[in-house]
Amino acid sequence: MSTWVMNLKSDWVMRFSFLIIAFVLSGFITKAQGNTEEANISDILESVAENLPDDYDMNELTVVLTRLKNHPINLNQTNPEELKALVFLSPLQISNFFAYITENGKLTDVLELQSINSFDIKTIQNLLPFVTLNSFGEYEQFRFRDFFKLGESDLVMRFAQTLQKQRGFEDLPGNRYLGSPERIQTRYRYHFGSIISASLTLDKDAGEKFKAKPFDFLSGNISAFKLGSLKKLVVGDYALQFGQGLTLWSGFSFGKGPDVTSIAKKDLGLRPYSSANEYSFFRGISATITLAQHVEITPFLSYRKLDASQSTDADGNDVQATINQTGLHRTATEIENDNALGQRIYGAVLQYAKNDLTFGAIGYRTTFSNSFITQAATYDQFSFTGNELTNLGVYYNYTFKNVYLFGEAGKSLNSGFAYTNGVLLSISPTVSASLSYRNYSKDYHSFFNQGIAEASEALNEIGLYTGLNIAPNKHWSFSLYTDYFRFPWLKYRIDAPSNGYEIFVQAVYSPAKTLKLLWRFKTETKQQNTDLEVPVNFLDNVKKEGYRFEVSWQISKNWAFQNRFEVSQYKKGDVSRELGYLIYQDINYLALSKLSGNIRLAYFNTPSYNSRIYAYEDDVLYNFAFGMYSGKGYRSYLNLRYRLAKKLDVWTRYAIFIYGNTETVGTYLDEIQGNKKSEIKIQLRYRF
Amino acid sequence: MKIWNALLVSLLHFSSSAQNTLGPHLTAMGGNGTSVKDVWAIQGNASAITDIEKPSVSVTYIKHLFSNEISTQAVVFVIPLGKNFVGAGYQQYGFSEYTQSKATFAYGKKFGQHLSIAIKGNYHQLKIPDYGSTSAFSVDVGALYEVGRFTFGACINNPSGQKFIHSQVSSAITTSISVGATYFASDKVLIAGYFTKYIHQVTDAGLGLDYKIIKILSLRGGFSVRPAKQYAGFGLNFNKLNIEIATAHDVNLGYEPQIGLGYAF
Repeated sequence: MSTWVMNLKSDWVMRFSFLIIAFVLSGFITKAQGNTEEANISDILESVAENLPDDYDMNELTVVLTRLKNHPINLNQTNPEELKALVFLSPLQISNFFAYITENGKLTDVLELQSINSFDIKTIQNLLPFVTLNSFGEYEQFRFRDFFKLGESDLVMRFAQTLQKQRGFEDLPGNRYLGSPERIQTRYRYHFGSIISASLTLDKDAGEKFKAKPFDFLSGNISAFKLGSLKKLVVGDYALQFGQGLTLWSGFSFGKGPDVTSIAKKDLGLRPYSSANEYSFFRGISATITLAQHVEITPFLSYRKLDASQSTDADGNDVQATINQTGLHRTATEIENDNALGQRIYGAVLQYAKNDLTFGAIGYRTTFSNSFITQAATYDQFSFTGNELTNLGVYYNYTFKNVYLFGEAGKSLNSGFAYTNGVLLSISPTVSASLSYRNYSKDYHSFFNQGIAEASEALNEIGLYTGLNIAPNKHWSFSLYTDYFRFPWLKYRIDAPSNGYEIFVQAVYSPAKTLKLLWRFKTETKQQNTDLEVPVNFLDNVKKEGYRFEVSWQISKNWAFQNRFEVSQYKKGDVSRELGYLIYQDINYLALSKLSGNIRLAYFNTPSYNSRIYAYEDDVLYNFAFGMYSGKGYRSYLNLRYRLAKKLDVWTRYAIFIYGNTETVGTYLDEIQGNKKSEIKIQLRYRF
Repeated sequence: MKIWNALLVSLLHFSSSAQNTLGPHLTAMGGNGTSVKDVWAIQGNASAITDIEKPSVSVTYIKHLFSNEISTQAVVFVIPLGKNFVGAGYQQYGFSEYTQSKATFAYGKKFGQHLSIAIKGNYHQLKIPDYGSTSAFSVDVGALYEVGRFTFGACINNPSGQKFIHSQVSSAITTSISVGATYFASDKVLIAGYFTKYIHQVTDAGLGLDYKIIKILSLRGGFSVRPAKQYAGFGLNFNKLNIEIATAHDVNLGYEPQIGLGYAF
């Protein structure tokens, strides 16, 4: 055994033996009781999302689900929009639910859900924690004297820091991080029943300075709902999500994933924005107003500043080629680019929704303070130029018996066109299928485009997706999708039109409530420029395959375990394939009145970044993260949650990567000397 | 152009040599020829013909859209004789300068409620007018087992590794082993999948769905992995007559539409 492994082991054992002992001991001195808001929600999100960027703030989803657990939806007084917030429900299930209520009247027992077409047992199990049949009196009328008495506040403060010093924090002569290494986030939310809400988010990323304004990113809003014909009103930061996301969709959206019905997007219209992602939202005012019985309009007005790297054109005007979406302002250049570009947007969405039919029309105009110029790369020559863009779109969905049809077409004036159409079919009580076709032109422009796509942006792509969910009985479920796609124009590192396909298969076996086995296979083939030194690049096939086997079991009310073994394969052209793998053990200590926690011990070995593996990691409440396992080494983390008082909770997280055969971790300014990277996180939540 | 066609055909032939013409029904379900009962099963796992109640005949024509000249034609028929079944099929692929054909004779037998076994003999012929012609003979065996909502099938094609008998043609008849399963999700929905290992070549897998949306109309779809293809089609089932349409789509070779006509006497 090499020296580093020995060092690593002793270091590891010492570090964790203390924590594990503390963890286990604390378990014995606390009593077991039902609880944990997190466990079920992370299961649900992980089953819907296949992979997400490891640094993406999923707050918009986790907060909504956490709140619904405490304030369940009354199924006899709900509306489609409310149910759309439950990510695991398909649009067809939602339609079938309302068709059932219309036909049979109010539900008398939640078990009646089983008789609704397309509601399988798994869906009902997921649904139960978020719904009720009892009317428990949400306050529908606002009186100022109730503002503090009946309002609910949720304050979350989070601190996180990488413990090793990254190169960017050293006193470098050139580019370096000008701020401090800690990450600090504060969120405050206020709810008065379901009619008033307010939120405030303050965020400072690692490397950013506490500038003149106390936080690098400040976002907030005040919202009112159900005020007669004024259905929704948001002043401040908001998100808009309509149709299938081609024309107007800000914030998060699900794409291809283990739940094949997620291909049909569930638009939530106007929503208050409460995420810490600094790019995709609107700032200003918007409202949804009922015009007639089935017709509503959502006008919106937004003005905000974006980050952009600017240059000067021949006439001395500031121009830019792209917008910087990271929201990071750490180095002198990033700070210079901060808020350099003004963005003004106005427009409206008109929607008609009656029974099983929804039809909408979108129109908005975006104006930038400076012009965009054509980019140098050939693949990029169809990107947006100028400083004004008008987007128009139409969308629809229609349910007929067991068929849900959906689609959207979007046009950016003076440039391209994009459209998508699809169908969800519940073809038997145990089988549902989905089919979707998309065609996005290479010069389609929208700054709020989240259409289903293989690429990161929904343009220059033609694709056909087919999916199948099969749940033959309560123990087994299978899901499968295929996606074939073509990119008619060049792309980054692809010097010719290219194509590819993706196939995903998953089988889940749950012989008992406390045991679940999962097997997953995914293969993806795409094309990319050859790595060979040739005068003219030709395309090589790049094939990635992943196999996952996972067992989750619960031995008692308090203890749950999960093991995963995952293999990844990568092969480009004729070069021999590389093989990586990840194996981990998770231990969860659940359901305690005061303390709960979990720990992961993982070993991973991937020959390069190409065969890297992503895996969901437990984190502090509201945070939902996928960790990236690349290289060779160990990964571990420990999360603890402690209820300090009835309304006060604290979360702590310690996470570490220990790499083998390396002297540095990370690249460029994030580089760390040594083979370890560890992070601590502390979060406090106070509800009042 | 003809040279191009010959090259294309021979290249394609290499990658799809083991692909029998399975008729529009099985093709639309992702090329599911291992466990789905159909008259065209005679071209795949012949033991899946043992559900046919009346003498049946079916023809198909496939257009390969990458070239105007290349097409495939095939015909099959099956005669049930109590628990015994006999059938024959003929398929021809190519164009005037290159023709490949196969004649098949099959015998299947039902053993009780659950098990069926079939054996078939194939006569293969390859004709290139300026070079002459060659032929070969191969044997395939298959079995089908039905239990509850599931049907499991397995077959081995050309286990003895027969080759064309010609000094200038070294091409072997592909040896392959297939296993497949069909799941009857309801009386309207049938889902079938298969794995096929081509000896010394790749392993293919596929999955398909047949959805009888109304009594006379079935919608079908499927995919296969190697080569990566998508399939779709529909069937119109009248009393004794059925009309079936299917297409395969390969990202490089485009569409392969086919039409079939079947009659049960």
